[in-house]
Amino acid sequence: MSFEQVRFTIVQLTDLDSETPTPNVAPTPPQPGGEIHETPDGSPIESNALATGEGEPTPSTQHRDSEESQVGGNIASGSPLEPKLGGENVEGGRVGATATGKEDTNPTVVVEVAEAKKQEEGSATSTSATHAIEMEENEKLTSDTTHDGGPGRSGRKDDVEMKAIEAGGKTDVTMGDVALGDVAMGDVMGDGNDNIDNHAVKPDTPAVTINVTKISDTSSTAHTNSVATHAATVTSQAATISSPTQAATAQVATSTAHAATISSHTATSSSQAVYHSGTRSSTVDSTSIDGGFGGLLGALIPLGASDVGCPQWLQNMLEYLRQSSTEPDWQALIAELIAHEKASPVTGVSCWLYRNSYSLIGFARKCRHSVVLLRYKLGSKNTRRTFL
Amino acid sequence: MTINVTTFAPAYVAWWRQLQPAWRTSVSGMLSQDIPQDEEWVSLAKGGTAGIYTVVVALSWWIRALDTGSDASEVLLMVRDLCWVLQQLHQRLCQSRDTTSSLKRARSEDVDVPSTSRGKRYVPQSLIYVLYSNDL
Repeated sequence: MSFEQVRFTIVQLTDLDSETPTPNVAPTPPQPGGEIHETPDGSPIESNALATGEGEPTPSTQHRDSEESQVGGNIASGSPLEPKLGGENVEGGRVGATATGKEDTNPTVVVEVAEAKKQEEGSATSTSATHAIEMEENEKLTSDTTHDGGPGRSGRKDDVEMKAIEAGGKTDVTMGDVALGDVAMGDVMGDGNDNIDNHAVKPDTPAVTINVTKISDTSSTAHTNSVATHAATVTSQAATISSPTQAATAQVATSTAHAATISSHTATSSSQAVYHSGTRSSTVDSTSIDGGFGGLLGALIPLGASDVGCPQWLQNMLEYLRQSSTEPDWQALIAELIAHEKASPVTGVSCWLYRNSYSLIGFARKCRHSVVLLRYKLGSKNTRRTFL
Repeated sequence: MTINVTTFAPAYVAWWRQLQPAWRTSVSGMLSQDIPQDEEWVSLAKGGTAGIYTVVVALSWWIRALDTGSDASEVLLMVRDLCWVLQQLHQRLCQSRDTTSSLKRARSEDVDVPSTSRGKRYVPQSLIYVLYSNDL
């Protein structure tokens, strides 16, 4: 049978099966970039047409009835299977998968039919199918965005956190709602004057809500006797709060108030206080001022004695030393210690070696002299030269 | 760690006095602050974890052992004296560094020929023989 006869037969079969809406061929993965394939009669077919059931046939038949949903899922999820169904041409992959319906034992015939007779019909079918799949995928993406805050995120954690918030009966979480127990810790001094008034924070998204709540907990639990905070900028690694409505403002009114600023980036709270020690005037970073020995209520960090360049072993002990007392003289002593250690003085061991260096050198010389003398007496005339 | 202040405080003061140079101790028991000209602070100018830091840590123990209403005048005097000593040590250390750096600078300016460590290695063998023959 010649090639032209085969083609004629194909055309006839196409006429007989004109009721078939779509070709029954497993889509061959088109090459990315829209390569041109030629039909047996020499007419070019774009690779995009392969996805719509047109063009070059595949030698193997595949049962595609159950793969339609799988193909769509692969495309939506971006799995490694996606390139096999169309590579760069995602739409073609979708349509081809949709167009497959039943097993075909002669894909060549079907492809020829689609190329010669059903081009317009196939295009219309593929277009409708494409829209259908795209709508499904858009719904998925929309739902992912709604629940996760963005596509590609698991969202389970946020869902749990959302439920945790909603369980409290409120959707707008204020700083005091979650940190009531921690706010009570603000009364560190036991004088009952630590009145913490946290203004409501109404974040736009649940993720922001959680972050604000956590930061407010930290700021509330800080052992701050006197904190006056004005428009603390709340930032976190997960979310950045920049709008004025999301700015967390906390006010703590106490008796011996010194200015303080909550630095919520590190989730810590510190207050600044100024003390005077004789001729010395220093500014300390304070969380409590008790003005006497025995106070263990906070760490004082004298300014002018920066920890930068301080030995690591001393940095580990600075907090302990500073918390020993809030007395200005004691803090000045710590500052002097830091300055002294930063100057890299000789250590105690090196001092001992320095003081005993002459005796050590004398001892070494005596040892060497004894060895040289011994070897000299044993008869080696080259002893001195080799030893030296 | 429980510290009995009644026993710890006198022991600490005695230790601190023992660490001081001889010129600081006086008959009256007060620690002098009249620094001699050639004072090197050899006994106290020690850094590191085995240096003056141990004195500070021990003093912090004393402070922490104090009760809220107890008399803190003695420990306050000790804190001020230790702070003064630390200031002197730091000042002395900075002065010695300035002197050393100025000496090095002057030496580098005076030497015309660049000194190399290579020149120090070459010692005449005859000189060594002479030295050792004298020792023997």
